[in-house]
Amino acid sequence: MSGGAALILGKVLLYAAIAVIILLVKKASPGVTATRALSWLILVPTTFIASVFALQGGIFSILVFVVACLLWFGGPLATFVATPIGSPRVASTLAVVGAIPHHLDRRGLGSIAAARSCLVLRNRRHPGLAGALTYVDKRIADTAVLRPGTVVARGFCCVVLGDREQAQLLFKSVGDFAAPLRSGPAQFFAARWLIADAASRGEWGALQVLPRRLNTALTRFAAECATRIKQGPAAVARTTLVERWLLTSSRVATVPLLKMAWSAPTRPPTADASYLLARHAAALRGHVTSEDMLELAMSWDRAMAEVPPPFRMTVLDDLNALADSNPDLRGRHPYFSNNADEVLRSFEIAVEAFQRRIADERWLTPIDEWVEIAVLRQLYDDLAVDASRRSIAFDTIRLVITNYAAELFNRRHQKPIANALFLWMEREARFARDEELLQLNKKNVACGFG
Amino acid sequence: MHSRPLYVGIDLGTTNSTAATFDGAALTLIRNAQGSTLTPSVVRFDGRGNVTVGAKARRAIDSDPENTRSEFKRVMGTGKRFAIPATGKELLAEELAAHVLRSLRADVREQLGFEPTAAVVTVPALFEIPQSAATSRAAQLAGFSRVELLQEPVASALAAGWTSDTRGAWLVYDLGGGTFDVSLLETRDGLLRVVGHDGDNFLGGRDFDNALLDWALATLKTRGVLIERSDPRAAPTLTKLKLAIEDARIELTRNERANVALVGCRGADGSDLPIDFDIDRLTMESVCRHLVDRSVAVCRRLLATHGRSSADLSQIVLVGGPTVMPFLRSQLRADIGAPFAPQLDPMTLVAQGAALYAATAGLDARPAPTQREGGERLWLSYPAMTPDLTPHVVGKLVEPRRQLARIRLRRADGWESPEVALDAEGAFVVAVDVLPRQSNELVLEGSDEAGKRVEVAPSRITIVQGMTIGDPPLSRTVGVALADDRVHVYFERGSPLPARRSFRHRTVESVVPGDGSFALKIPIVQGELDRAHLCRLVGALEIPSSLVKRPLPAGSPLEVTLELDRGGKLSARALVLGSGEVFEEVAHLLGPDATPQSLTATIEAIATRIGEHRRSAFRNNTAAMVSRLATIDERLNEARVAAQAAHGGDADAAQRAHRLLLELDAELDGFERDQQWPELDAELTDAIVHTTSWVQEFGNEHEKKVLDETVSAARRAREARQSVELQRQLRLLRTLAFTASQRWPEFWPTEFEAAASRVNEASDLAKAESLIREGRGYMDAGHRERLSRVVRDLWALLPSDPTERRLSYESGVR
Amino acid sequence: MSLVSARMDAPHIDENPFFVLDLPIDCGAMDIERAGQKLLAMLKVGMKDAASYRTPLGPRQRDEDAVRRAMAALREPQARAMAEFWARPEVWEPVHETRLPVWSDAHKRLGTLDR
Repeated sequence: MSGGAALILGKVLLYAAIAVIILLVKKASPGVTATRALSWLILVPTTFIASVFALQGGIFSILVFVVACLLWFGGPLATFVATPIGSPRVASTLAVVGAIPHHLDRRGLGSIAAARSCLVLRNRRHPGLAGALTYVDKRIADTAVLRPGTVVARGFCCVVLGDREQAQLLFKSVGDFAAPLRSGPAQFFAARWLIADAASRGEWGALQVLPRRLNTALTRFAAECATRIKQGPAAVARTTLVERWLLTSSRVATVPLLKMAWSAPTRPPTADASYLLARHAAALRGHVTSEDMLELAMSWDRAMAEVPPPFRMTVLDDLNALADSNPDLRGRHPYFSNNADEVLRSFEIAVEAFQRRIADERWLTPIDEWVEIAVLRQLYDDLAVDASRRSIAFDTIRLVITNYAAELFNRRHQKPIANALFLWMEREARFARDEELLQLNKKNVACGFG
Repeated sequence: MHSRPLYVGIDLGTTNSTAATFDGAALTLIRNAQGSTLTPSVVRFDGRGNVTVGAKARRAIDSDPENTRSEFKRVMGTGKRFAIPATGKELLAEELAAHVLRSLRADVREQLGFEPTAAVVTVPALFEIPQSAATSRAAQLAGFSRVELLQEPVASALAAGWTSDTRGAWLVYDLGGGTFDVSLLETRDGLLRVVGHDGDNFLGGRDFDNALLDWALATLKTRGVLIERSDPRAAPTLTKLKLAIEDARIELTRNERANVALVGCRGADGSDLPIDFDIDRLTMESVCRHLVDRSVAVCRRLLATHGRSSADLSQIVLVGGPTVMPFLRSQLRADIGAPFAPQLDPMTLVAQGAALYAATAGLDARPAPTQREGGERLWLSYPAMTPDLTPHVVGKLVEPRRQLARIRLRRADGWESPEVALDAEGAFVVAVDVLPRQSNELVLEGSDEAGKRVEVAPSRITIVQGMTIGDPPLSRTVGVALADDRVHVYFERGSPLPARRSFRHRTVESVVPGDGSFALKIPIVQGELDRAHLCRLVGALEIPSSLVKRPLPAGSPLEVTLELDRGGKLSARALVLGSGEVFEEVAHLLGPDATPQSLTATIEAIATRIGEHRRSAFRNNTAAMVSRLATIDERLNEARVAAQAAHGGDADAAQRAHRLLLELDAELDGFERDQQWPELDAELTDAIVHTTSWVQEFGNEHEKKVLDETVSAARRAREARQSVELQRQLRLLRTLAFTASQRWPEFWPTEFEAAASRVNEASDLAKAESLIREGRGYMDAGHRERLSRVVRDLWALLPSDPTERRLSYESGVR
Repeated sequence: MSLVSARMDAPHIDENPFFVLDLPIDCGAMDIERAGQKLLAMLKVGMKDAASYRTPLGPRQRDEDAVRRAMAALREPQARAMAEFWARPEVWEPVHETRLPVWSDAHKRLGTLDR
């Protein structure tokens, strides 16, 4: 055997060995972070060796070098090149290749890139949008095991179709998955969109409570900013702001937010507002603080006896509607929770329908199962502002959800979703001090998600 | 051909129908071939395919009852079909009504020389969507391409207001053949406003005839002539007697006494029945007095609802054949006290009003002109009839601007508007002066930039100044039934028609493509009550799983749009916001299917409820409750009578029974709500004792804390008498007791035995039995957790209480 | 309920008949008729001037249904009283109203690609 042939054979063996190691490592470790570290260890030398050989002009080495580059930079290429071009297929392929070495949710990341390309096409009013959406839709529907990436992709599809509410619901639900699963692009895109959506509309109240569902360094920073903007400088110290800002990975992008919070003015006292109706009108015009709203509700309460009955209803409707668009008001005054019983009934009806569907074995695609769970969870969270309603709500679903999640885990192979549900039930069982269910769900959570 | 617009109005009555026209200045009644302004609403078919309508057909009711149909208006909009042996066909009420309308249309052609293409047709005020829609269809079948519906009382009010200069509040008392409507109206600044409606859908001339018939049968019985109403063999005699009595009633409006004599009538045994007796006005008055009293009570109720008394009324307009009865008039005058509107023909007033309304709605009945005027074409919009003395005429060039730059309007008597320049869009707005209470012809004069005359088309328009009414108001609230038995109101009663509204809902159940058996329902209901099952279902939008392209998970947003045209035709669509799919199929727009069996079942259910309440009311010795129940019971008897007639095939009576039962259901609900309080109170005491004992023994610290909070919240609710809140707290208490009791070692075995004893109620018997076998095994082995799972699975197989969704017409949205 | 209507709804302001018909609260029955008919006619021929109206909460779309509903409401004494209550100019005089800032280019800065 000549020296050249031996070299080629050696190289082939080396590459094969690397491929086998990657596969083995990935198989052994469902946790993404560990894979990521290992893939670095393998990819760095491989790329280095391939680049040296490539410089010598070996065709095979150039090929390996290109593949290595794609593995290295597939993600950034998808985000910064293919997506802005508006090419869902190329973007998703690049994203999938880029995710191979270090991410479990390859298909999901591909779908995100494709869905974001659709957003670009929508912005340009491109005629190819319908076809692109069909492609993404099919891709999402055909996802065998649902992970956060696919959820975010569906969220972006909702944004494209103008269904902001559903998009919010889906992006928030990313936070329900186990931390290692949601880390990386899925969480990154979800958090950024939710923050941009709320901040661009001045819905600071929504930002304040965002970390309760989607808890990341960025959402925690945004929540502090929102609190300071709404309640004035006394509410959050500047040092805390900076601390939180430094911890985020989006420091440059969030400078304007930091500036806004940094220079938030002191809130003027509201007590000298001249009359109730004018303050009510001001509240309807929007952008008043939760504290002003609370003060307004209390003033109405004092004045209610003198308000003629037909106007009472509209006033209460207004206050309810205002509380609805401002989650941190819910449950803080009786006037803001008039509809709590409606929510409870809606919740019970939703659970009943859900149970019937599961009993009839009318299964949906994984993503649609998740949408339904997210709706239930949103209704649950709306109820959970009040401890006694939270008890009723928990009692309504504790076994429904636990059994359903077990079914998803055992028979339908949707381990990531099942794990997210076990996590939810574990938390709620702890709240309700339901020892039996707590232990059961602890065991279930320990079964993992990979 | 008429140079001015011509408007046609039709009163499609239960007994008689009438047509009238209005040319902007005068009202004209249309006469039929017999020279009468009234055409009986009777249709006859013969074997040769000929159709006869009116008096000639009415004469055949006796001789050929099978092929002659009358009084079909009462079952408009239901699925009832009339068999016509002569043609071998089965016709709907609307198809029969179409023959009457076609005949009236032909009469208009005879008198005016052209076939009208548009008309206003009147309907009773309390007609619901299915009935109104059927009337529209009838008019379309008769060849009217544009149809608007108007409520009868509004029509009579318009006609009365046009003929006499009335101010203030007034009442329209409309007693028809089968229905009674009363409306309170108000005129201000030439605008007529309907303040409110009331009525009795089952009080009419026919009830007067029935009362007289009962009296006649009793009188004949004293003379030894026995005719049993329930005997089918007596039916031909009864029909003849009924017609004779109707004639006698009409005769009594002119004479003091009328004679009823029938020859050739045979009894059940075939013997000859000697029927010959007299009725005088006094007898009629005593026999029918309670019917007039009933109508007066409705009038008083209407006045009271709107905070008026009879002293506020400037006049009463009488409409309908039976109102010509002298004794009715004198009794009304004595009971209500307001004067009657003078010189109005109660038989044709409605049709006249309909013709006037056609003018308000700009519904020109002339066929579209075949020759087009020359000149630059304008798209004009203006009120054809208005109370305003300075209305606006708005116009726009149909094609992009050519020469026309300015426009002016000139009235025939010389008045001229200022010259107005067209704006950048080629549009203009001109205020014009019109002369009061007449038809004003206005000529449009265009000019170019240089002031040179430019021909425009149309070059002349007509505006009638006079009293008008706004848009026809909706008679009953329309909304979507939600899954929790609430109603999401789309259009309030009194909303102007046409109307269109969209609201966003969320689905409560998932729809998976392909599975053909399932459909998500969006029921559309009509009625004034806040609970869906107490309102009438008038249609349902369905999203069937066979038509969805992608899965629609529960919680998906839907935008539902309901649209009602002036004729009360309902269309609905649901847009799935996620996918953009649209569903427009509205299922069954028919009156409810009131089968005699279902009616009897409902009557029994209500009777049982009344019985239970009565027992407890007697026990507690509450006289007020007993008498309230007695009133409900009395009305239940009315429903029983109607249901019996329904068993005999009377579709009209079935509808009546159905409505009555709905009302009774609502009334009993109200009664129960009032009754509930002491029971709720007692329930609370029980629940506190029960829950406390469980929680003290088996509950954890957290549950004990929640219990304390709940008990104090429940007590607060009791003090404030908030029943909804109290019920909620009760529910919470039960949940707490349930949670704590599960820790009792014997809990699951006890529940297992209880569930096992109900095995024959299970929806899947085989599965239930295997579960029970499994459970016995776990019980013996002491596997508590596994046993609990079996019990829960068993519970799922056992029927739950009727849920709100089932009540709410199985609504799939919230 | 939050899921049904996350956006603020204030129909008594958004669809207040006085705002829809652009009339002062002391107008008479004939003014309502005239203004309503004029707007209906303008909408029917598609004049842009009639397509929107101002409310204190911002401009709103005007259509024939809204105009007809407004006319019917103002004919009804009770509904009219209600509408007058919310259309009184003094209600809408500015008080100590503190508008919170909005991060208007958040989507652009955070690269969400949404607009």
